[in-house]
Amino acid sequence: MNSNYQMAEDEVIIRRMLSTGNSEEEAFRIIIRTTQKQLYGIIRRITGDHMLTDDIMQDVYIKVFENIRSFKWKSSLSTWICRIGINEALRVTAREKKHRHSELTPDVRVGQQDMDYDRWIKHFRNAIARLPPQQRAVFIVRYYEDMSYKEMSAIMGLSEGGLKSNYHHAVKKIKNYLDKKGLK
Amino acid sequence: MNDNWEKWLENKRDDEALDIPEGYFREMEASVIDRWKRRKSLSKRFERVMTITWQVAAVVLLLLVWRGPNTQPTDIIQEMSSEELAYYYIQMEPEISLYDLWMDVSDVPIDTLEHWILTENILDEDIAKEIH
Repeated sequence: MNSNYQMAEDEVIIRRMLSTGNSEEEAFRIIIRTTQKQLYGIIRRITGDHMLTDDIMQDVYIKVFENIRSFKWKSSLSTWICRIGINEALRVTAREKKHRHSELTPDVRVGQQDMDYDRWIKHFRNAIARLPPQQRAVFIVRYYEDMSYKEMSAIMGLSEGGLKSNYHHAVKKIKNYLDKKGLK
Repeated sequence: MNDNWEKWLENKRDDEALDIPEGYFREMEASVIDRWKRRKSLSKRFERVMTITWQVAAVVLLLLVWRGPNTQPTDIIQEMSSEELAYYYIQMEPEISLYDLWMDVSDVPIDTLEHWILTENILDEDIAKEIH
């Protein structure tokens, strides 16, 4: 993923391209290339499913392209895209859960390291999948993307206090779950 | 207490990479751009259809406004005699009921109206032509 400085530079280029009206497609390609990996990581960990993530990613970018002319550029473009992505992922997972009448299955790939680590990963992701949607999203963004509460607040539209509370509750629930499984 | 949990978690990293199909990001980019292009072309086509529709509507409106004073039926109706009026209504609505006709032309006796409906031949040919 790009550094903040690189992202800001990209946004200047994108704005210039959009204002001329001739390089719209190229601007959209840059938007996708600079944001897709982070967006994919967040959405995939929320949904736990590649196909679902792919659908959401495509819808998010189409929404972004259709509404970019009304984007005020008050926040960074990547923040805006991330926000749309998280909201869409939460909406889709809620719908999927309703249809399946069951919890989402965690996305686990094992066999890369030792058995204890594999077992820990499996239950750790299981615990994340069992969190309420908002706590799950907050935990994923903080834990996997290592974002500050300030950045998260801009993306998720929650106060820093609310985010901290969500995160701590999530960590507590995960720890309790792992304790019950006999994992430390 | 919360700090302890955070510290506990710091030592427990889930570093396992996500299982992403090879070339996925390139394919996703191509697919999104393709979808966006198709939507853009559809919306352009829709815009074109809407523009034509508005242009046609504007022309029709202009024609109506332009021809309006010559064809306003209310102007004609106001100048008609009861006989002409009855003829006009019968021509406009051949199935008109006797009662409805009488409501519109109440100064004519009802049996006369009934006769007019039955015969339809209530006016001189010249007057009928003028009304048409």
